[in-house]
Amino acid sequence: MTSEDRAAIIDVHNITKTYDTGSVSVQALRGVSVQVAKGEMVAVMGPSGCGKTTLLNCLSGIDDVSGGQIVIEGTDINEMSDDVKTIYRAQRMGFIFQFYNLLPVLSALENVELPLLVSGASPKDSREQAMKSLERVGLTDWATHKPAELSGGQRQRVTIARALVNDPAIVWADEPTGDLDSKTASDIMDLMQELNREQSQTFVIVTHDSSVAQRCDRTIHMNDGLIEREEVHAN
Amino acid sequence: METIFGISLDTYLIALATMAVVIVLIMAVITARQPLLVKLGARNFTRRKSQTVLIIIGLMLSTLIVSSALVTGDTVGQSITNRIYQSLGTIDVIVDPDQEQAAGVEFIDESDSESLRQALAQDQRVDGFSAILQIDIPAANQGERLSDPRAYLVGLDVDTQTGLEEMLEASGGGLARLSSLASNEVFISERLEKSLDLQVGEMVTLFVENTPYEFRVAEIVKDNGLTSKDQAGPGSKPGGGVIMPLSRALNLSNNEGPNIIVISVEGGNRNDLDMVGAVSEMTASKIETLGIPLEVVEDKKELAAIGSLVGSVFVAFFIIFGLFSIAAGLMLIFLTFVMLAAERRSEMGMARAVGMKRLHLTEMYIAEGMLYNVGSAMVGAALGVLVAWLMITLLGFIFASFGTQITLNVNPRALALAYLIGVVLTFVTVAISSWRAANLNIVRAIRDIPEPDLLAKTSGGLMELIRSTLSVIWGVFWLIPATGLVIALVIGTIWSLARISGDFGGEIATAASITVSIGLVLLLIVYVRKLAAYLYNRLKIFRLLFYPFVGMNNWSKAHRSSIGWAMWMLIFGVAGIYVGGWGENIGAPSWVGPQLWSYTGGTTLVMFAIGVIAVYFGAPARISFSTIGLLTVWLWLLPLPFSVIPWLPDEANGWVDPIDGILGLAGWGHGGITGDIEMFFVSGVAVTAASIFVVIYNSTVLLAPFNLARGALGGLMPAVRTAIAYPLANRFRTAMTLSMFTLVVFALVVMSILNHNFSAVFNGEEAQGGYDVAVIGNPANRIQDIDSALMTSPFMDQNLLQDGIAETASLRTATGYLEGSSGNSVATKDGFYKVQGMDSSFIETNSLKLVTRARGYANDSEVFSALATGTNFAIVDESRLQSGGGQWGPGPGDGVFEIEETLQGLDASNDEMGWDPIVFTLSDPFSGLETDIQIIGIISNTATTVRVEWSALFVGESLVDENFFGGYQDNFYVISTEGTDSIDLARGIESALLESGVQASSIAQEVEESASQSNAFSALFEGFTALGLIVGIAALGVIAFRTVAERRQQIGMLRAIGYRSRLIGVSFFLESTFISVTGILLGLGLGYGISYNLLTSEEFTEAGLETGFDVPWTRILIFIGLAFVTSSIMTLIPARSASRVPVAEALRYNG
Repeated sequence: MTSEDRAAIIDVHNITKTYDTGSVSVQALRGVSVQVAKGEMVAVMGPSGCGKTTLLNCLSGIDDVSGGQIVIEGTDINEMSDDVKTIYRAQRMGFIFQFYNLLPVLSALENVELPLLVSGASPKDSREQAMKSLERVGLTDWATHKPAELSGGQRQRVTIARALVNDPAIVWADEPTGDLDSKTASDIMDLMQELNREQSQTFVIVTHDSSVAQRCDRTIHMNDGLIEREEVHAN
Repeated sequence: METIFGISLDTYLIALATMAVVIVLIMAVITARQPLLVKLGARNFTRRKSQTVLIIIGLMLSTLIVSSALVTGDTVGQSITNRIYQSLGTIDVIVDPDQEQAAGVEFIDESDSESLRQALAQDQRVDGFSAILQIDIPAANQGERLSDPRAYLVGLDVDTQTGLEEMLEASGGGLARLSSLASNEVFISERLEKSLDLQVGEMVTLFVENTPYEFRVAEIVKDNGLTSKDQAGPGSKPGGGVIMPLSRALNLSNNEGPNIIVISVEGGNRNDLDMVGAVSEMTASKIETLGIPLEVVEDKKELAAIGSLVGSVFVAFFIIFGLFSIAAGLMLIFLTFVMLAAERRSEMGMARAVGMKRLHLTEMYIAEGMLYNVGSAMVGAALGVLVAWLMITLLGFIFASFGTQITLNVNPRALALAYLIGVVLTFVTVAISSWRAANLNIVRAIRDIPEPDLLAKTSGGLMELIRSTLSVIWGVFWLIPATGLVIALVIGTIWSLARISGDFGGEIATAASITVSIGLVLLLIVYVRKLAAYLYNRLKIFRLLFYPFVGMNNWSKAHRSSIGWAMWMLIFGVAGIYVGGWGENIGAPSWVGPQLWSYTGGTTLVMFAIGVIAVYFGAPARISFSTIGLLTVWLWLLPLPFSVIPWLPDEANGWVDPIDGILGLAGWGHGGITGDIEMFFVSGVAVTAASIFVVIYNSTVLLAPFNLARGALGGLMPAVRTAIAYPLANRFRTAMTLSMFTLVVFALVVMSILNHNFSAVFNGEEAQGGYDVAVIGNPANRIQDIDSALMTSPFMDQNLLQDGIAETASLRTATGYLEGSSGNSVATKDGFYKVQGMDSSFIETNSLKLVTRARGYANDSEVFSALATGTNFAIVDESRLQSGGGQWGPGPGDGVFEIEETLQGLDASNDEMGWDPIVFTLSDPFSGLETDIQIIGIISNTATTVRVEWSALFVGESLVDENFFGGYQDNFYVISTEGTDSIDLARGIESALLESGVQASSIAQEVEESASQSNAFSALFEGFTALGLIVGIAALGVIAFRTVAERRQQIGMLRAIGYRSRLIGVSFFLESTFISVTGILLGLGLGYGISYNLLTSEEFTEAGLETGFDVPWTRILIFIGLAFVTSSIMTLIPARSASRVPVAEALRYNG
């Protein structure tokens, strides 16, 4: 299924992003337009510094754009206040980072239940949901362990469990396999694909790894702040 | 002020300056060898300005405390010395009749005085000699109806030599004019001029034997030791003098001779004190040779030393109270470096991986630390002067009531000393923390894997325990000869330098030589080590010779672990307990045994060691350390007001010391142990450490209510979750910050409660002894019956007389000699003491409290009944007993009688029903009349704080009348009617009896004044201790700032997954609040517990300090509230900055 076949959950028009450090001005995005359909798994590839992570940050609302429009689930996120954007992220989005970004002082279970707690879910429900989410990624037995006691792959699974615990519409993943060996990376991709299929959640994955991109529905190739080309995969 | 803790300030200065120079040399070597490392270390100084400021504030506190303590001590010492100089003028040596030889005679025979004058006449150093009469005598300005009962009649020998002349100069004249005074003329001193509003040419009236004598004021002279009275009792001001030639004064007062000889040594007011000391000694030896009944009682050298001593006492007190803050400050330095190291852990791991040595990392941190150090010590020393100024302003009010003016005296030596102490203390702490920071595991550091919990190391078996214990001793053993070698080398180098130069030529040259020697030895060690390593690697013979040492060293390093240290803690702890409790058995030095600090310190060490050993053998860390922590707190808080160990014998619940209790069951208990003010600090450190173990290992349980209240917390729950998780995860950091808060709050709470309760006892109603007004009679104009004197006085307000006075009572004062009976069950020392003869009204109406009674007297009233009916009973004030642990107040002095037993000893010397009455022969030194008396009660010193004349032996009035011919003075005490103002009543009585020269005062007012002085002192000491809270607050600020930097990426992640910015701020704020609130509560609880036990302990209640237990909640809540609010504000700033971290930027942040 291609993006044309489904309604766009992400609709981006000509966005630009300029970093101004005072002495230097860097144009990270120079007019990017893209649509992502609901349930689609999209990879964003390109050389270092091409603007992949900036694009992901802007689309997910954790960074502001300098120009253009981003419509997520029919709402222009530029028009949302910071608080509204934050709540929206908590309820409708999930994040997976290259370096896991788990809180080292909390157990796997506590890390996973954080998004639910900030969304206002009751502690009891949060705990149940978090356990289910950990079960989905196969880490029930490691629930009480802290990140330092887990392997890289296990940590990334916890991150995935955390990203999916609030049943988000969109999951943003920035180099999810970048810190893993190829076997573990493949397992993680299997897991994400499986969840994508089962839950019909939209995945936007920034990656350097072409094997990761190959397993997505579509790959967007970026260069120098622009989309160079798109590639659809028959998975 | 020349000494602190008995050591000369110059010695401190030289030692510290030497160390500072060594530090500078070390820094110079580091800078020269590794400029890049210094640059790397220094970059943070300017990079994070707000944190730098906070660190400097925290680090400067030790310097500030020492600086303010020294400046205050210097100022107080200097002011007292000035007062002494001002009062003594050119008088350098004072000679009085020898009480023991003269058997109570108070006058000097003219021939004795002349003999001494002749004996000293040839000594060129003596430039003044005068026999003088100084007695209390009331004076009045009849014209203005003004009187001064405190006036002083001074009769001066007009043959006085030039050395004393200047003390008589005012508007001109002096001795020449004194000798040419007309028979109806006198000089008066400035103080009398003011109190009687007299001018030259006006008439002053003196009352002798109730007869008025009028004199014309010929001259007004300055107040000094020669011309007026210098000291007075509490609440009174010293009186001014009326000066006339000695012969005339003797005729007027009917005295047989002068009562004092003053000697002046050349050089004026501030002459050579050593010369004064020499003349004093020479005078004493001449007196001995001449065999005359005189004695040297004081000389300027001794008196000037008092000023210095008082200054030193102040410094010692402030430093002891400041120890908590200094400890907190040093912990902050340590913590700061732990945090810096944690933040740069992975960076340091990589640096080590690419070849940087551990020493390089240490040097880098030392360089950074020294930048903070130099700045903070300078700021601290300067701010110390400001704090000292504030303290001196407060002290000024207190000292003014004693007639001493104090003005700020900043001695550059004090500032230099404070600065150097700050630099050296900080350097040592920085060096230790730098070494710790650099001591990392490279792989763990690079991969950011937490270091293993040292206290949670599990068993390697009994053999590993033995190996580790031996390896620790090898490490320590190695240090001893190494240290010895260094010291020997330094001394050897100094000796060689001395030989080369012939003479060091002063302290600075000595210090320089020591510095050079240390430098040379350090260089030698470095190169010898290098050479040894080279030879060891290259030459087989070296390897063969030194292999056992090197092998043993490597073996020791491999096996050294926490269990080894724990075993040594156990061994030293047991040794501490034994020496502290039973030190007498082995002849231990008195500073270590039997001493509470080593006994309780040893116990605490053993407790912690047991905890570590238990964990080593597999016991869960949480259970072990919690149990040990609780047990340690329990030990320190004993006795608890409830039963905690029901299965032990009944007496167990009253045990203050379970070790002694248990061993005592087998007859192995220890004897008495002494403890002093240092226990305040020792107990604070021990209970704080123990309680923090409990909190840290049980924080999840303690925080369970938050988890249970998750529903109620609503949207704050995620913030609470992270706020709690971080402090719990960073145990070391949390424990350090908690300790700082707890220690200082503990000290403040204990001080506030003790001050408050002591003040209530010593300055409460008990201090009044049941009376409202005290009327001190004048020996020159005695009144036998105050009631009739008041009734017949034409100046007495009749309304006041009729309606204001409920009761009067009297004491007749004499001086007696007490000789103890050989049959007494307690030892006594024979000597003189004041005797107060109570009339029947005094026996009936006084409310003096007895702290203990002899056998057969169930309560105080039975004792007073015996005194009312029998003539051979007596009671004496508590100061005649020896002071023991926990007993307060002045101890027995020299030359006076004393009971050589402590209050506790007295109570313990007999059965529970009381002690055997102590039998004395009381004799009048003049008449030789004797009578046997029995002491049957001891008066609490709570009543003698304000009325010093109650420090006496109390007997029935008839005994004083019969054996002492009625004594030499009458004092009266008045109970006023309800609603009568005691101040008005005192004023009315004094005015009515003006001609008799009585001094009437409101006892309630005196108690109030004494209370305000004591409150001012309390406020001063509490305020000083509260400075430590600044450290705690700065620590929270440092942690909060560092935390924000450290967790930048995590903040980004939290914001990404839905934490609103406010929630991030709240989380950080709650995290700091958790620490400050826990620290405050712990300090409050522990301080409350220790204070409760102290104030309700047997030692205190038996010493008459039945204070009840009252907590000054308002005062405590104010400073706790201030600490909380300030720390909250301090943490709000970083919390706000955390909430404003841009999400995408934070996610990219890599430290």
